[in-house]
Amino acid sequence: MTYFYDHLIVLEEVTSELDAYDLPSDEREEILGLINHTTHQHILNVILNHLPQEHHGNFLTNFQSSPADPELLAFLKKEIKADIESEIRIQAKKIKAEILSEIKKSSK
Amino acid sequence: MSKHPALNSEKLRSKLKLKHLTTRTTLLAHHPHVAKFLASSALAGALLLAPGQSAPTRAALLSPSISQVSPFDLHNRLVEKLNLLLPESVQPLTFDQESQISQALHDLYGLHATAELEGNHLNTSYGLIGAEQHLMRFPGDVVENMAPGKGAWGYVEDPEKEKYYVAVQTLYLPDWTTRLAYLRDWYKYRKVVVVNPVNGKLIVAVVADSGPASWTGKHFGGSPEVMAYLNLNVGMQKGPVVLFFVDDPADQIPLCPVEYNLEKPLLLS
Repeated sequence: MTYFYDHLIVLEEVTSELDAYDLPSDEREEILGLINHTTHQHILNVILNHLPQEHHGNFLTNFQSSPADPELLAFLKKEIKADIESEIRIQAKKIKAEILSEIKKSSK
Repeated sequence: MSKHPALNSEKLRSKLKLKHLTTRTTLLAHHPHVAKFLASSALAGALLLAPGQSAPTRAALLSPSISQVSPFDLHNRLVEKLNLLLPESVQPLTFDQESQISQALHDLYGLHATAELEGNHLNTSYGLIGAEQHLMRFPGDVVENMAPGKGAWGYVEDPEKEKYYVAVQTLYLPDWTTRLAYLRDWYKYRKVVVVNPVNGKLIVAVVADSGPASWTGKHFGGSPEVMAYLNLNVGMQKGPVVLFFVDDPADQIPLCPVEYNLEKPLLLS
């Protein structure tokens, strides 16, 4: 599944790090799934923290029906005072660093 | 040749699952309406569930009347809670600590368990448990790893009780000698819950023996099955546990590991 903010979070660095290990494909898929879900949950929380409450219903309805629609980002940029693109990038970078650290700490 | 040393994928998976749980909990705590909005959407599966969780689990996540989280998540939540409440080393807990642990056990597992029940309290509810042997169920009973004599209350005829039993230090209770007749009966097969705060696993068992001796440095003993479930049957075969009495006057709670909320039926998936 793709999301309207995918271009802001770029998880290839994490995927590349993980692919440096010889993981069985099912384990790789499960771990990548956890990483994806965790990142997207975190980003959705960031968005809703910034978006005024009265717009949550509208945003979630549209996000539910068309999660990749670029109009969603335009909507957020219009309704959120802060630079939401920058905020998503910063938060994605932060969680990516945490995940990369966990991968490194799990090296034998 | 791989570019890196091998990866401990089990460790990484556990860390990521914990992070996933924390993130999900934060999202739903800050914005509970998200669950409702995404209830009928594929997004719910993509955003709220861990990989491998099924659609029925999604239904559970969104329903207040049935168990909402997996055993893994429940164990992790209990670990997080106990990390905040327990001191660094085993020692008698304060009333407040015990009350909060009771609350957590009820909130997460629907279990009514307390450090003090009917005015009775062990000398500590947070101590070291060590491995015990099997107890004799009848004269001539022989199994591998069997204790040489009977338990403190004689033969343990019920195999379930023998399977899931603990030993507690009744002999060191300050009123043990003065109230022997009452306490001996009260503690016999008293239902308890034993919690491993390291992995969040918990098991309901009964008191079927007295001990261990204080010089061992341990405070409780666990049957081979209890220790195995708590993952304490390796290495030194001992570790810290919380041990509370289970308030179950109707005897409805079975002796076994607890892996779901007893007050919310488990969804079959």
